[in-house]
Amino acid sequence: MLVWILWAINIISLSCLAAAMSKHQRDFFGRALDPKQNQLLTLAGWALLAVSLFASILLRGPSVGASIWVCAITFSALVVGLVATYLPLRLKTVNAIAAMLSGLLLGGYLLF
Amino acid sequence: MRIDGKSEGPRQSMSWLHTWVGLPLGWLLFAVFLTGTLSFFHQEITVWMKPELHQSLATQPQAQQLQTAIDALQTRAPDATAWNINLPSNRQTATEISIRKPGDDPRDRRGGERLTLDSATGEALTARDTRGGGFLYRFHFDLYGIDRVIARWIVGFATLFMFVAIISGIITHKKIFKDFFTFRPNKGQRSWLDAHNATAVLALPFHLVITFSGLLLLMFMLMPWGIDAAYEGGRQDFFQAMNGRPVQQGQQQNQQRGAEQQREGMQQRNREGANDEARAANREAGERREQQAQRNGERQAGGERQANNGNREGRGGNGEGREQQPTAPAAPLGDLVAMLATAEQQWPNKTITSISVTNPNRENAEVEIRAQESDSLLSRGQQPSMKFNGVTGAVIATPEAAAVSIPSAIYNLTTLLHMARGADVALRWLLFLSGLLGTMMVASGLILWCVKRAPEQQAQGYKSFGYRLVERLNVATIAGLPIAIAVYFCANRFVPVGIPLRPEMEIKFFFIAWLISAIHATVRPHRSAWIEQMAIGAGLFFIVPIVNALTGGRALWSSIYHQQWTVASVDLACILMGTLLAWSVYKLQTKPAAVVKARKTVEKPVEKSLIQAEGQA
Repeated sequence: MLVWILWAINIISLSCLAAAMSKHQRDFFGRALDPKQNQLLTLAGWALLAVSLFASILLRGPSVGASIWVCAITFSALVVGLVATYLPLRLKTVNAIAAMLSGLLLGGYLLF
Repeated sequence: MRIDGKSEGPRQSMSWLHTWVGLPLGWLLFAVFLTGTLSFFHQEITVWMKPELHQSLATQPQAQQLQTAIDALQTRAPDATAWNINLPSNRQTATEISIRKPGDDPRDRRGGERLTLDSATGEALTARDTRGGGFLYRFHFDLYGIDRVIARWIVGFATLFMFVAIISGIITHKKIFKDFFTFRPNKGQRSWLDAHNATAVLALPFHLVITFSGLLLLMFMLMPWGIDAAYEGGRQDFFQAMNGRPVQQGQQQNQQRGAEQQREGMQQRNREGANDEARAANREAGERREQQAQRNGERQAGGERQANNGNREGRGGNGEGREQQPTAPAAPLGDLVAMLATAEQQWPNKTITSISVTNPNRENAEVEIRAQESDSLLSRGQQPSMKFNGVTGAVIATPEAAAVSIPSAIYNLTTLLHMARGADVALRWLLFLSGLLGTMMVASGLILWCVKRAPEQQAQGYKSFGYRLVERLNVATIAGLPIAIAVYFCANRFVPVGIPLRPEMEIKFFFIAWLISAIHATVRPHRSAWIEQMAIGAGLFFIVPIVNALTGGRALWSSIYHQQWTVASVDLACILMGTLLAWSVYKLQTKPAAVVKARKTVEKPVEKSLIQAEGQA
């Protein structure tokens, strides 16, 4: 379960980082974002990555937690890469789904 | 520094290094990566390859399964010195028990009579003779049919090359961060490079850890000198020191001899089968070596034997009462089910798989219950365990694990991840999928070599020998090995049960299939070879689940219905593999080969498929 949560949440964080890169912005939004927005996206992306790593370590210990986190974000990055290639205009939809999924899973994780 | 003397920058020189370090052992690395990736599930594959075990369903609660196992043990061997029970889990369908009789060596971990029980009925199951997933696991670092030490040197070199290729690849990669999420499909060479980069960069931590730990696992063989120089008794003393046991001068002589026997011992240990490959620096390693040395010693003639007995006595004084104890008076065995409940309460999120009882039905009985998943990967044997008094059921306090030094922690973390030991299901799957990415990275690198040189070959008007060799080896490896694996799975069901040397026969099918694929790749035009072999591979992998259902295994619908994931996951992985191969056939066929525009008069007929690989993009 933790792995799925990490995977879903980091689709969002890595999407933020990808969206902050000028080379993807035309594909995603049809225009370049202003520097303020870029900064915000970068910050949000890194913050989410850091928080999820911290949470993972807190829950499963440094060695297991960090290992799971690294392996999970590999596949978050794969999803973001595939979206950037094949469905760039659906980035927001994919992120909305990822947000819903992580919310549901997180809720389930905290409740049970 | 190039052989041809051209000047170049560091990035170009690294690119050159990356190409030429990667290519020569690339095919071997592909095989090592693919079989290694499958080895994350070698236990599951073995169960799949023993369809007799599929009948055992783990639907009952664990307490009941344990009671069934104990009943079986009480009727079979009430006077044993030790029992070991492995309950069904997500990695096995049946209950495995092993019984150690009074005459057996109590320290021999693999010894004793082993039995597989139906977890619900307690009925003993006899499975067919097969190497199962163990063959793929062993092939991953021992190859097959050649001396183990030589094989490990070869694989060790390949691993080192891999490490060099990864590091030079990182340096060569121009825009590692800028191109992090970039993939440009349908652009020929560009796409292959992107695919190679993506599979490499996304799973880079995995690749680094797996390659580095691969070297660490072989380091005692590759670089023994440091230890040999620092410890008088060689590796044995080193392991003893690692385990925190003092090395005694009086033992030096014996240990010297022990060290000599060690090589032999190691080989013997290897013969003993699956799981103990890399326990080189395992906590038990020192002990194991001692056992081996002793066991070897016991096989030797009289005078030697006496010396060895002396040796053993010397050790007995040193060790923590590891000598065989005289039999204690009889006492009824405590309630193991209650102990299991205590352990379950302690670890609500863990799978309890292993229960071992020493001196059952005696006053000095002791029960140890272990969970499958580790809490920490920084030291060995961190699966949580609880010890109980076997008569009263009282918990026996276990000493805290000793602190681990940083080098040990690094060794343990990376090698435990390499072997997915103590990993839960999720982490195991993540490692498996990362391994697939690594396999694709190697494959795309090999194909890229050809794609990049295709225009050159085109201009030249014919394909040079080296180019053709690489092309053919690519087909024979990248398409051939999956075919061989699928054939191995099918052979498991069609080779008659009970014939002599049955496991070897299955393996023969594996290699014959691989050989046929290599011959086919040589005689067929390049593009056709790809399409045909990918199609055959896809077909075979789709057939595997059907064959499973028809030849006594549990059919996929039934295994999913009964949540027998051990069996279902192998079937599902085969379907996934078939789909991947079928998809590449589709891609190859729908994208016509680029038409070759000959610049000059063509002397030799140029195959239209020269740039076939682009079709795969």
